[in-house]
Amino acid sequence: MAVTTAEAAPARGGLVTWVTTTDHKRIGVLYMVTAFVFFLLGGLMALVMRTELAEPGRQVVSPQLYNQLFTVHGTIMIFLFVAPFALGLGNYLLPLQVGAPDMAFPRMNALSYWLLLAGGVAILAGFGTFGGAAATGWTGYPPLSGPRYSPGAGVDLWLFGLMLTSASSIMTAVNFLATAFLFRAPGMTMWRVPLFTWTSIVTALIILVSFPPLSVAFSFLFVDRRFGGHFFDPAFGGSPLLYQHLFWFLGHPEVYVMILPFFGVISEILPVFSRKPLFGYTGLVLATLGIAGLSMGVWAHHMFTTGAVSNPFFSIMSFLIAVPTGIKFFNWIGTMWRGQLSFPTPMLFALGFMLNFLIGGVTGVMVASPPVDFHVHDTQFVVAHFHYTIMGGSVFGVFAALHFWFPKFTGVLLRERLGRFSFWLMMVGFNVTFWPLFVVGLRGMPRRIVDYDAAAGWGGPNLLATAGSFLLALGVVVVVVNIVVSLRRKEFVGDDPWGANSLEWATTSPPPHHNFESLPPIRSERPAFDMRHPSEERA
Amino acid sequence: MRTATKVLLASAAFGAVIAAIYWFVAYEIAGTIFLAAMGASLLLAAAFAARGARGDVPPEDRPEALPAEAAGERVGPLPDGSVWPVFLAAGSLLLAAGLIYGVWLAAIGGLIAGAAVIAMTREGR
Repeated sequence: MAVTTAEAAPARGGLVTWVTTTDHKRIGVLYMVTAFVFFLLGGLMALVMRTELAEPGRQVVSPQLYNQLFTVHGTIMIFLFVAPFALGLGNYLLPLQVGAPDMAFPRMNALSYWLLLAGGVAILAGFGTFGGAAATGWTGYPPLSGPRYSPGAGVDLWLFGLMLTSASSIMTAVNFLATAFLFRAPGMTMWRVPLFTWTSIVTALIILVSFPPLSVAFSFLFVDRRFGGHFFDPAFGGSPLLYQHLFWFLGHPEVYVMILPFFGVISEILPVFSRKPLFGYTGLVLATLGIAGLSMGVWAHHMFTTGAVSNPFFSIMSFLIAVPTGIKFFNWIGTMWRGQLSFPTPMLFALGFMLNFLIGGVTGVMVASPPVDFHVHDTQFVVAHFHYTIMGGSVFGVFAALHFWFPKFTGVLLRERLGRFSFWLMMVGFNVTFWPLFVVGLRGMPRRIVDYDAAAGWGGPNLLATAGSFLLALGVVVVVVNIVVSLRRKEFVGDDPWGANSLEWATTSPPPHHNFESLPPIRSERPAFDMRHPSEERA
Repeated sequence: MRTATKVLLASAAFGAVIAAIYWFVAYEIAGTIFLAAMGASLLLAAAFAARGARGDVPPEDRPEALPAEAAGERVGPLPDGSVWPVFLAAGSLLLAAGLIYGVWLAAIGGLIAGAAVIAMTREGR
């Protein structure tokens, strides 16, 4: 069903219209702003933890609070920041990129956002309960998360918060697929859909098959905790390993839910600032599908050390993911090769993404090997690897997207000098924070510890990491200042300040309520470029 | 066969193949069921997509189609906002909290969520 017409509701302002909105663009903005606020909260928790670990001995928090902080920090960053920001970006851009007036199910789209917020409130409410928030790590393994070792309501609120966010994600996934498959504009064949939309489609497929097992795991755990169930209690024939299987069947694909949309972001940004078409569009789409497929078969590489899974199978599957990921890197480099490169802030963040993710990816191949994994399992090495993938990768992708599409959202550009300054603060701060954790991890420092022995020799790298984390935080503060300054000074830059390619740049910035006054003919995967440069001119 | 159907069908086939390989490599039942269920659910989605793809090729699947070809195909008004998603989410939160703190809270949450579902359904007509 192609859709080109829809009656527009009159544009209105005010808090009530934001609360009751069903416009995908406003919902996208709500998602992104909410996710960013959660990011600031999670980042604050990280700073407290890094301050605690700066040197041996106890500095600022009790061990109990430290356990709660690393649990909620991980939960926030994964379930309330990176993934929701990606879904919010998709909410804003996907209908625009395929030429639709809105999402297929606008009210369900609004419900998705409010369920996410409700989930976030439930998770944070744990801090106000007797016994505090969940302190089990973001994995929530029983028996630690069971009624005997975590009797307070914090874990229950954490479970329900995550179930609400899961429901939110599943609804968003349904909306993405229905919109992309059924609401495309005439001529917008699936092989002309922008890469960001393709990665959102594939992300939605991953969500649909991986989030339900998580809800099952959490429901079983809740029954164990509150109604005397024994799903995960071995004393009564239950199996804690079943929880790990259920959890990681979501947990590992969730990494790709967080990273694939930003692969799409990078694939949109690189061609624009290389002044070339994307190199190997079809290969990039197939590589995205390949990564998604393989990601569903690697969950138990997180369980190598249990001795109860097929290590060779999961090791080989994990190694294989490097192949489609390598294809993506090859195509990105091919896109930049002999292009007319320029380096505004979105491009800098995109390149930062590539460099950081490369380190995260290569160390991922290392820990996919069981002999290496046995050595570094549950050490700071894994913390460093994971943060190079998600913080250095996805979060740099978040900032690349923010700087690139900010003029689309608001009509104004973020300040370039402040943007560059924030990039370098974050790039240097990030690497100074997390590279030393590889070192102390290889020297045996476990993760999730509040204190360590001075004689272990971990003090120097930890102090360096803490200094880096404050530099990184300063970079984030500069981004916030940049947003405030740019919005206050409001220097409008036109509909397409970058000379970009995809269809969202063929409408006004910001777009009207129903997205397009008129659609250009779509003859390639670069309709906005084609519109600016008709074929006769190019010939 | 349209691209969406092909993607879903290929994903379903991948799920079936990987489930079979996993079973013969690991003889582990939980993972085999996950992968087989993944294949089956994607097969269901592929079947729906194939059913929807019958008939003439629509403008969005024709490379040479022009925007004018979809003119006249109206989808009606875009929803002009709704407060009920907020109530449904709040009701769900109270319902969940009620399972922890007391049935009375769950009942309030259930009432709010139920009313919101009914109101959203009516709004959609």
